[in-house]
Amino acid sequence: MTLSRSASYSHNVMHDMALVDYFRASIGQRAFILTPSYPFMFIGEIVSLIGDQVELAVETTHFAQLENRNWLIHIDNIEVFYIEFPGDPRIPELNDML
Amino acid sequence: MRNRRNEKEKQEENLPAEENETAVLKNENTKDEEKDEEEIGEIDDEDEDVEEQDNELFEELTHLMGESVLIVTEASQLNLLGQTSRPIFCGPIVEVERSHLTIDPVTIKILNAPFFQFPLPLSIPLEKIARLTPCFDCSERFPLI
Repeated sequence: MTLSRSASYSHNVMHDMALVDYFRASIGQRAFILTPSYPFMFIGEIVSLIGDQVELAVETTHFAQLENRNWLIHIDNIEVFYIEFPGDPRIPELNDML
Repeated sequence: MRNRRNEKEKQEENLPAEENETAVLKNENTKDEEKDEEEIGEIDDEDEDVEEQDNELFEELTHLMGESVLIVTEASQLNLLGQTSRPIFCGPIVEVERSHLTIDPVTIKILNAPFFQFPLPLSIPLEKIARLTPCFDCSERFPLI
Protein backbone atom coordinates (compact mmCIF):
# COMPACT_ATOMS: atom_id res chain seq x y z
CA MET A 1 0.00 0.00 0.00
CA THR A 2 2.71 2.44 0.99
CA LEU A 3 4.71 1.38 -2.04
CA SER A 4 1.89 1.99 -4.52
CA ARG A 5 1.11 5.29 -2.83
CA SER A 6 4.70 6.43 -3.11
CA ALA A 7 4.83 5.19 -6.70
CA SER A 8 1.78 7.24 -7.66
CA TYR A 9 3.31 10.16 -5.79
CA SER A 10 6.43 9.72 -7.94
CA HIS A 11 4.26 9.86 -11.07
CA ASN A 12 2.74 13.12 -9.91
CA VAL A 13 6.14 14.55 -9.09
CA MET A 14 7.54 13.45 -12.44
CA HIS A 15 4.67 15.01 -14.40
CA ASP A 16 4.85 18.21 -12.38
CA MET A 17 8.61 18.46 -12.85
CA ALA A 18 8.19 17.88 -16.58
CA LEU A 19 5.61 20.68 -16.65
CA VAL A 20 7.92 23.04 -14.78
CA ASP A 21 10.64 22.23 -17.33
CA TYR A 22 8.24 22.83 -20.20
CA PHE A 23 7.25 26.25 -18.87
CA ARG A 24 10.88 27.09 -18.16
CA ALA A 25 11.69 26.31 -21.80
CA SER A 26 8.85 28.67 -22.75
CA ILE A 27 10.10 31.77 -20.92
CA GLY A 28 9.52 34.82 -23.14
CA GLN A 29 6.50 33.30 -24.92
CA ARG A 30 2.89 34.33 -24.42
CA ALA A 31 0.63 31.90 -22.63
CA PHE A 32 -3.08 31.38 -22.14
CA ILE A 33 -3.88 29.69 -18.83
CA LEU A 34 -7.18 28.45 -17.39
CA THR A 35 -7.36 27.64 -13.68
CA PRO A 36 -10.32 26.56 -11.55
CA SER A 37 -9.51 29.25 -8.99
CA TYR A 38 -10.21 32.95 -9.26
CA PRO A 39 -9.72 34.80 -11.59
CA PHE A 40 -9.92 31.68 -13.80
CA MET A 41 -8.01 32.92 -16.84
CA PHE A 42 -4.71 34.63 -17.57
CA ILE A 43 -3.07 35.74 -20.79
CA GLY A 44 0.47 37.11 -20.71
CA GLU A 45 4.15 36.56 -21.22
CA ILE A 46 6.01 33.95 -19.18
CA VAL A 47 8.61 35.94 -17.25
CA SER A 48 10.28 33.30 -15.11
CA LEU A 49 9.85 30.20 -12.99
CA ILE A 50 10.17 30.43 -9.25
CA GLY A 51 10.09 26.93 -7.82
CA ASP A 52 6.83 25.50 -9.14
CA GLN A 53 5.27 28.92 -9.67
CA VAL A 54 5.08 30.47 -13.13
CA GLU A 55 5.60 34.22 -13.14
CA LEU A 56 3.33 35.70 -15.80
CA ALA A 57 3.23 39.34 -16.96
CA VAL A 58 -0.56 39.38 -17.23
CA GLU A 59 -2.12 41.48 -19.99
CA THR A 60 -5.59 40.01 -19.81
CA THR A 61 -7.82 38.39 -17.19
CA HIS A 62 -11.56 38.72 -16.71
CA PHE A 63 -11.08 41.91 -14.72
CA ALA A 64 -9.17 45.02 -15.78
CA GLN A 65 -8.17 45.79 -12.15
CA LEU A 66 -6.07 42.63 -12.06
CA GLU A 67 -4.31 43.21 -15.37
CA ASN A 68 -0.93 44.69 -16.26
CA ARG A 69 0.86 43.20 -13.29
CA ASN A 70 2.92 40.11 -12.64
CA TRP A 71 1.15 37.10 -11.17
CA LEU A 72 2.69 33.97 -9.71
CA ILE A 73 0.61 30.99 -10.76
CA HIS A 74 1.09 27.60 -9.12
CA ILE A 75 1.82 25.01 -11.82
CA ASP A 76 -0.43 22.45 -10.06
CA ASN A 77 -3.33 24.87 -10.39
CA ILE A 78 -3.15 25.07 -14.19
CA GLU A 79 -6.06 23.11 -15.66
CA VAL A 80 -5.35 23.75 -19.35
CA PHE A 81 -2.96 26.04 -21.18
CA TYR A 82 -1.69 27.13 -24.54
CA ILE A 83 1.77 28.55 -25.19
CA GLU A 84 2.20 30.61 -28.32
CA PHE A 85 5.53 29.70 -29.91
CA PRO A 86 6.66 31.58 -33.01
CA GLY A 87 4.65 30.33 -35.98
CA ASP A 88 1.82 28.94 -33.80
CA PRO A 89 -1.70 30.37 -33.89
CA ARG A 90 -1.81 33.73 -32.12
CA ILE A 91 -3.73 34.10 -28.90
CA PRO A 92 -6.67 36.25 -30.03
CA GLU A 93 -7.95 39.34 -28.27
CA LEU A 94 -10.33 38.43 -25.49
CA ASN A 95 -13.37 39.91 -27.29
CA ASP A 96 -12.77 37.81 -30.39
CA MET A 97 -12.98 34.55 -28.54
CA LEU A 98 -16.69 34.00 -27.92
CA MET B 1 26.97 8.52 2.24
CA ARG B 2 29.36 10.71 0.35
CA ASN B 3 31.08 11.68 3.58
CA ARG B 4 31.61 8.10 4.47
CA ARG B 5 33.18 7.43 1.07
CA ASN B 6 35.50 10.36 1.50
CA GLU B 7 36.54 9.05 4.87
CA LYS B 8 37.25 5.73 3.32
CA GLU B 9 39.37 7.30 0.61
CA LYS B 10 41.29 9.22 3.21
CA GLN B 11 41.83 6.06 5.15
CA GLU B 12 43.12 4.32 2.06
CA GLU B 13 45.61 7.09 1.54
CA ASN B 14 46.90 6.44 5.02
CA LEU B 15 47.04 2.73 4.42
CA PRO B 16 50.82 2.15 4.27
CA ALA B 17 51.36 3.93 7.59
CA GLU B 18 48.70 2.24 9.68
CA GLU B 19 48.01 -0.90 7.77
CA ASN B 20 46.52 -3.07 10.51
CA GLU B 21 44.20 -0.49 11.91
CA THR B 22 42.82 0.59 8.56
CA ALA B 23 42.36 -2.97 7.42
CA VAL B 24 39.80 -3.39 10.19
CA LEU B 25 38.21 -0.05 9.40
CA LYS B 26 38.07 -0.92 5.76
CA ASN B 27 36.28 -4.11 6.57
CA GLU B 28 33.63 -2.24 8.50
CA ASN B 29 33.33 0.30 5.75
CA THR B 30 32.81 -2.35 3.11
CA LYS B 31 29.96 -3.79 5.15
CA ASP B 32 28.42 -0.36 5.46
CA GLU B 33 28.83 0.25 1.81
CA GLU B 34 27.19 -3.01 0.87
CA LYS B 35 24.24 -2.08 2.99
CA ASP B 36 24.08 1.37 1.39
CA GLU B 37 24.24 -0.12 -2.04
CA GLU B 38 21.34 -2.41 -1.21
CA GLU B 39 19.33 0.58 -0.07
CA ILE B 40 20.17 2.50 -3.20
CA GLY B 41 19.25 -0.56 -5.22
CA GLU B 42 15.77 -0.60 -3.71
CA ILE B 43 15.19 3.07 -4.36
CA ASP B 44 16.48 2.76 -7.91
CA ASP B 45 14.18 -0.20 -8.56
CA GLU B 46 11.19 1.81 -7.43
CA ASP B 47 12.22 4.77 -9.57
CA GLU B 48 12.71 2.49 -12.54
CA ASP B 49 9.28 0.94 -12.01
CA VAL B 50 7.66 4.34 -11.95
CA GLU B 51 9.65 5.45 -14.96
CA GLU B 52 8.71 2.28 -16.82
CA GLN B 53 5.03 2.76 -15.99
CA ASP B 54 5.35 6.36 -17.04
CA ASN B 55 6.81 5.25 -20.36
CA GLU B 56 3.82 2.94 -20.74
CA LEU B 57 1.44 5.84 -20.25
CA PHE B 58 3.48 7.96 -22.63
CA GLU B 59 3.44 5.25 -25.28
CA GLU B 60 -0.25 4.54 -24.79
CA LEU B 61 -1.02 8.23 -25.29
CA THR B 62 1.35 8.47 -28.25
CA HIS B 63 -0.58 5.60 -29.88
CA LEU B 64 -3.70 7.75 -29.59
CA MET B 65 -2.14 10.58 -31.62
CA GLY B 66 -4.57 11.80 -34.25
CA GLU B 67 -7.49 10.05 -32.58
CA SER B 68 -10.42 11.97 -31.19
CA VAL B 69 -10.58 11.63 -27.41
CA LEU B 70 -12.87 12.87 -24.66
CA ILE B 71 -10.99 14.11 -21.60
CA VAL B 72 -12.40 15.18 -18.26
CA THR B 73 -10.05 17.08 -15.97
CA GLU B 74 -10.16 17.42 -12.21
CA ALA B 75 -11.84 20.78 -11.65
CA SER B 76 -15.57 20.73 -10.93
CA GLN B 77 -16.03 23.60 -13.36
CA LEU B 78 -14.12 26.19 -15.31
CA ASN B 79 -14.91 29.75 -16.24
CA LEU B 80 -14.19 30.62 -19.83
CA LEU B 81 -14.68 34.31 -20.60
CA GLY B 82 -17.43 34.61 -18.05
CA GLN B 83 -19.17 31.43 -19.19
CA THR B 84 -19.33 28.45 -16.89
CA SER B 85 -18.06 25.31 -18.55
CA ARG B 86 -17.53 21.72 -17.55
CA PRO B 87 -13.85 20.74 -17.75
CA ILE B 88 -14.69 18.39 -20.62
CA PHE B 89 -12.55 18.58 -23.75
CA CYS B 90 -12.95 16.72 -27.00
CA GLY B 91 -10.85 16.52 -30.13
CA PRO B 92 -7.88 14.83 -31.76
CA ILE B 93 -4.57 14.53 -29.87
CA VAL B 94 -1.89 16.34 -31.86
CA GLU B 95 1.01 16.29 -29.38
CA VAL B 96 2.07 14.15 -26.43
CA GLU B 97 4.80 15.26 -24.04
CA ARG B 98 5.97 13.92 -20.67
CA SER B 99 4.10 16.76 -18.99
CA HIS B 100 0.98 17.26 -21.09
CA LEU B 101 -0.92 16.43 -24.25
CA THR B 102 -2.39 18.85 -26.77
CA ILE B 103 -5.77 18.70 -28.50
CA ASP B 104 -6.49 20.58 -31.72
CA PRO B 105 -9.16 21.52 -32.67
CA VAL B 106 -10.69 21.35 -29.21
CA THR B 107 -14.38 21.39 -28.33
CA ILE B 108 -15.18 22.69 -24.84
CA LYS B 109 -18.44 21.81 -23.14
CA ILE B 110 -19.71 25.24 -22.18
CA LEU B 111 -23.07 24.80 -20.47
CA ASN B 112 -25.04 26.88 -22.98
CA ALA B 113 -22.73 26.19 -25.94
CA PRO B 114 -21.83 22.50 -25.69
CA PHE B 115 -20.10 22.39 -29.08
CA PHE B 116 -18.00 25.51 -28.68
CA GLN B 117 -14.80 25.11 -30.67
CA PHE B 118 -11.98 26.98 -28.99
CA PRO B 119 -9.90 29.15 -31.37
CA LEU B 120 -6.58 27.74 -30.07
CA PRO B 121 -5.14 24.30 -29.48
CA LEU B 122 -5.23 23.47 -25.77
CA SER B 123 -2.68 21.56 -23.71
CA ILE B 124 -3.78 19.53 -20.71
CA PRO B 125 -1.27 18.59 -17.99
CA LEU B 126 -1.25 14.78 -17.62
CA GLU B 127 -1.59 15.37 -13.90
CA LYS B 128 -5.00 17.03 -14.47
CA ILE B 129 -6.52 14.28 -16.60
CA ALA B 130 -9.12 12.61 -14.40
CA ARG B 131 -10.47 10.43 -17.21
CA LEU B 132 -9.95 9.87 -20.88
CA THR B 133 -11.84 7.80 -23.40
CA PRO B 134 -10.46 7.21 -26.91
CA CYS B 135 -12.35 7.18 -30.23
CA PHE B 136 -15.03 9.60 -29.11
CA ASP B 137 -17.25 11.39 -31.60
CA CYS B 138 -17.19 15.03 -30.51
CA SER B 139 -20.60 15.70 -32.08
CA GLU B 140 -22.17 13.26 -29.61
CA ARG B 141 -24.76 14.90 -27.35
CA PHE B 142 -24.73 14.01 -23.65
CA PRO B 143 -26.06 15.75 -20.54
CA LEU B 144 -23.73 18.26 -18.86
CA ILE B 145 -25.18 17.97 -15.38
